[in-house]
Amino acid sequence: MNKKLILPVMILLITLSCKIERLDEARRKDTQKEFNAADYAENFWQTILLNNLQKAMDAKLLIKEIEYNPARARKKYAHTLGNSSLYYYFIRGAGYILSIEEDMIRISLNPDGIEPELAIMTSEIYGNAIRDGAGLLNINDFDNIQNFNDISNEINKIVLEKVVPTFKNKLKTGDKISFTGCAEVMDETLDLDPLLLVPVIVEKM
Amino acid sequence: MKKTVTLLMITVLFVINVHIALFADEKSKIAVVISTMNNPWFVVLGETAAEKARQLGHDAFIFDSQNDTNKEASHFENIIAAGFNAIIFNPTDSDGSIANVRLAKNAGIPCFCIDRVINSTGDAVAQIFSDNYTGGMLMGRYFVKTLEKKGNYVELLGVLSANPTWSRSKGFHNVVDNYNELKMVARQSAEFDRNKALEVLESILQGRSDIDAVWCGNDAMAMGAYQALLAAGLADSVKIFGFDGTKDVIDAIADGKITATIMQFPKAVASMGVETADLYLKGKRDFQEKIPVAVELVTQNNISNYTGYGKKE
Repeated sequence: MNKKLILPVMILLITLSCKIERLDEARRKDTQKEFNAADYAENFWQTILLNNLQKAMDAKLLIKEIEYNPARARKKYAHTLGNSSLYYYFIRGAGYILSIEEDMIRISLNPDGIEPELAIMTSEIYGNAIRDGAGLLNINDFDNIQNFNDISNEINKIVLEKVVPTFKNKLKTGDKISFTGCAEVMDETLDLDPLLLVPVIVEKM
Repeated sequence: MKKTVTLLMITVLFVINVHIALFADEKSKIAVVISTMNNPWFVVLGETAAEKARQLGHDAFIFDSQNDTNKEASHFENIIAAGFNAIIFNPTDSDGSIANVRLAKNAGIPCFCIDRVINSTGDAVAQIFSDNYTGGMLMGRYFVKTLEKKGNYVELLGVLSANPTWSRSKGFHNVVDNYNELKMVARQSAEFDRNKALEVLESILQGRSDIDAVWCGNDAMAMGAYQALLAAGLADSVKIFGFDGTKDVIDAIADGKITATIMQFPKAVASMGVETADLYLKGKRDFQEKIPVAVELVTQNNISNYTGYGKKE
């Protein structure tokens, strides 16, 4: 081969074998590749959440505390992310179904109760109730907060696709059920009475 | 030899004492690096941070990155060379700005991110940001309710490399995408800029006018969208939703020109960032790194509680 051609051929080969990309773009792709929110949420649900249900607060006790002093109940039992006005309770207990509606099941904690203290949500579940309410995930464990946000969405999908179908069409008014879940409180004038529970487990007793 | 050593020690001690006496009262220098000062929301953020730093007894200087990572990098080099004590940092790029924070950290200058985060943990001392994801979700809920679960809408995104752009958009879509009759007919970036939003929406409206709503990732774009809709004669029929809580949009909600926005609290975010830096400079070290700050939905129903950039006193 002509010696003069060696250098241009080498440059051509090197150029063709390289792909030039902005460093921030490459980093962004790497981050997106590495994290699978659906897998993370599934793993969180099976190995962390279901193994920590005993950390949930007794519903009767919590409601008594809220009725007595909502601010004190919030301080003692609620979980909050950062400096947020939203807060969450991780709750478990047993109750009696008062009504089954399109998007929620209203329950009373007492067998002769008329007014619901809790409503278990069965559709339109958005937000961070379980991610932040169970108090089992730490935002500081995530380099990219987008990943932390995506987990919330995937957890909500688990609730709607896997949890709600286990009980929604199998219950009727008057049934006694056990439940564990998380309640979000955004507006104390609306969300405390009844507490709106995003379910983790609901079973007929 | 002993005499020489003793003399040398005395000289060293004397120099140290003189140095302490001269500089004991010297103020710490805090740099406030802001992604862009060409947007009133960031002007409030930067000026509040600088003012708070001065109130706490520090010198404060604002650096405008003009949404350019190269300018931002150059600011960091100058800040390090000038021996600043701390940096209050509003990053231009969630990934691209990490290197600057690391550069400062390696030079012994702590960084405190405000409003925007970097995609890293352990580099900034603290990252105090609006809970944009929850804000997007709150807006999504209100959007669904206002449009009664059906209609065509346009989304105007912010700067594509900025974390808030996607946090807001994802929070919104995680609600709205569950309603099949709400159709996003166009989605484009207007880079958080009022003029770009005007241009982008004008161009979209040339293609179709059957739009019921425009969801904008910030208030500057919401005002640009309003201008475009006004020019097209659609301002009364198309609902506009923003994000930020700037004064012009709060006024526009009161006047019925814009439907809703999400109030962030730039003054609170900036003040928290500077207070954290102040505590750090006084020796505190155990900080929670990532701190989301609450946001609130502002509509015509509760507009009387709000003013530009915050709540009424």
